Amino acid sequence: MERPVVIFAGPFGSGKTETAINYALQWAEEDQSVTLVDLDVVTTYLRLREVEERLREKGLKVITPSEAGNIDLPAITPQIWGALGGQDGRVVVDMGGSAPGARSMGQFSSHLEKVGYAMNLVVNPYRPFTTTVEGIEKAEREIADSSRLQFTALVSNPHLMGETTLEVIDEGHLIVQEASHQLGLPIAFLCVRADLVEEVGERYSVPILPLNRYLLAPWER
Amino acid sequence: MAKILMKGNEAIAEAAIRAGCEAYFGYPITPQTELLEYMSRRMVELGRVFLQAESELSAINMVYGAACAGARVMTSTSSPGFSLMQEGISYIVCSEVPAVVINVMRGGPGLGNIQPSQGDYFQMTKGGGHGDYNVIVLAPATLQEAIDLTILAFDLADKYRSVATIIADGMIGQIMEPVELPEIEPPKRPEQPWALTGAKGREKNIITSLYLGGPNLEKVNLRLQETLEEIKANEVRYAEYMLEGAEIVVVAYGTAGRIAQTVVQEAREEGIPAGLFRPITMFPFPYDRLDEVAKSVEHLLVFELNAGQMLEDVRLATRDRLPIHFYGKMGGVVPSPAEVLAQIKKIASPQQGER
Repeated sequence: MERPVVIFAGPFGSGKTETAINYALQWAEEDQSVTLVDLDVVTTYLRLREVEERLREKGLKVITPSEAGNIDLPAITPQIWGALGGQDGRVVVDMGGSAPGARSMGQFSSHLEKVGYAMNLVVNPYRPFTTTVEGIEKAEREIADSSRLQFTALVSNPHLMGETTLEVIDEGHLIVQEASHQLGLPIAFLCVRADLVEEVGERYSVPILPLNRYLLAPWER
Repeated sequence: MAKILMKGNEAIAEAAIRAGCEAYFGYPITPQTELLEYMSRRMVELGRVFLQAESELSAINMVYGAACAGARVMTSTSSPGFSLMQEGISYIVCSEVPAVVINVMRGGPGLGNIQPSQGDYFQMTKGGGHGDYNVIVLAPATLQEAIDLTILAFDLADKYRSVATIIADGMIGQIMEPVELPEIEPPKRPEQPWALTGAKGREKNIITSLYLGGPNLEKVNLRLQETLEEIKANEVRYAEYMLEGAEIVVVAYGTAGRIAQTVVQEAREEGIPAGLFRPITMFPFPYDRLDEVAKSVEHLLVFELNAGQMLEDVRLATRDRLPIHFYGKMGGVVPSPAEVLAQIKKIASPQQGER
């Protein structure tokens, strides 16, 4: 059974938001009580709240910081407590990046211990500080400490955006597998750009989450 | 792994490190803070100097000091912080010591907002601080280009003993792209007999920007102007896209240049003969080449994330010989390619009507 709260955390730019969006949309197909919570109070551009209307149109419940504008105040809305405290609801949390971004999660830690949660470390081994197992281990430690929560799994997200190929996924996933072994954490799933899913096929033993990009640069819109 | 996925701010920081930046001084400001954060981690790892100053004023003066000592030195900031640095930049230029300054621009004027903007074009290309001077201004449109231009900025600063800057808007700082970083090798720097390295066994060096009395300050100014002429003669850079047979040419740089490239492609697909001229050096501005390009086209469309600042240089380059249209957005608003395409269609439609 899925745990009531599924958190996506990880270093800056590891793909937490895209993963959380795609995961929440997929989950919501089976369970309409799913709510996606934007708990990222450190990212300034290309963040969940820019696409929340689009997600609502798809029928997803979304909670974002109340100040919808483009300001960089670390403020969260009390609605988040409502969502996390609910008895029946299922919640997907998009946490801020790295240790500073994870700090806002700390206030919920004792509550989450009670209701149960899954926390996934999203790893892209093509990002500067997580190209090695040691780097991934360091990120895991720092974010867990800062959020006062424990990771339950890794999410493997090896990609170079438009330049992702099977080889890129292969090489990157290998590093995440090695980190999974070292950390004693399973890989919950592997993210694969939607248009590459067919090509990837049955190549890996882990489940696959097809990723559709939502956060686009202005010239891609 | 050859390629790595980086954020613009990180890419500029890592490029500076690869270029042999020995000292970084800065003060956090959105949307460039990741640059400072990245430096705080990597510079310390490498045993180089990282210092978060108490303000942009002290940061730029620390840069001045390190530059006088002959260090490869850099600071980075965003618009309001760049304004604060103007006095120091003027001093550095007058003292003829090399330094690199990164400006990841945000919406202004005033405290403005944290969204992308190109509102500092005048300030960056026309001097910015007091006195007769210009700084070198390089405008990346992709993250790979941001890396290459950051490395170039250090070399140009050394070559001309002046300040080289990167003019990046917040979007360039914040987007992520796969990039390739050059291998680390010791930077090739010119001799620095002027540097303040301790005068033991040699004549003492004096670096100053104060020239009281007599014609000395005029001499310094004449030399600075000579340097600027050399820069104008040697360092003009630009990119051209689909100019072949183009009748409407968009002139844009940075994020606007990137959007314009998408737009030109879409216009061509719809049969509109559009092209793109993208200045890479905003100072020295590619006046001559743009004038040449304008001779064979019917319209120019200047597109900027401001009220029309580069527009003045485009008019100067072409002496207004052809219709120059302008499309700009201010206050951190970034238009979609569709909005810019609509501008091109507006220019093209009377012609299409005749056909």
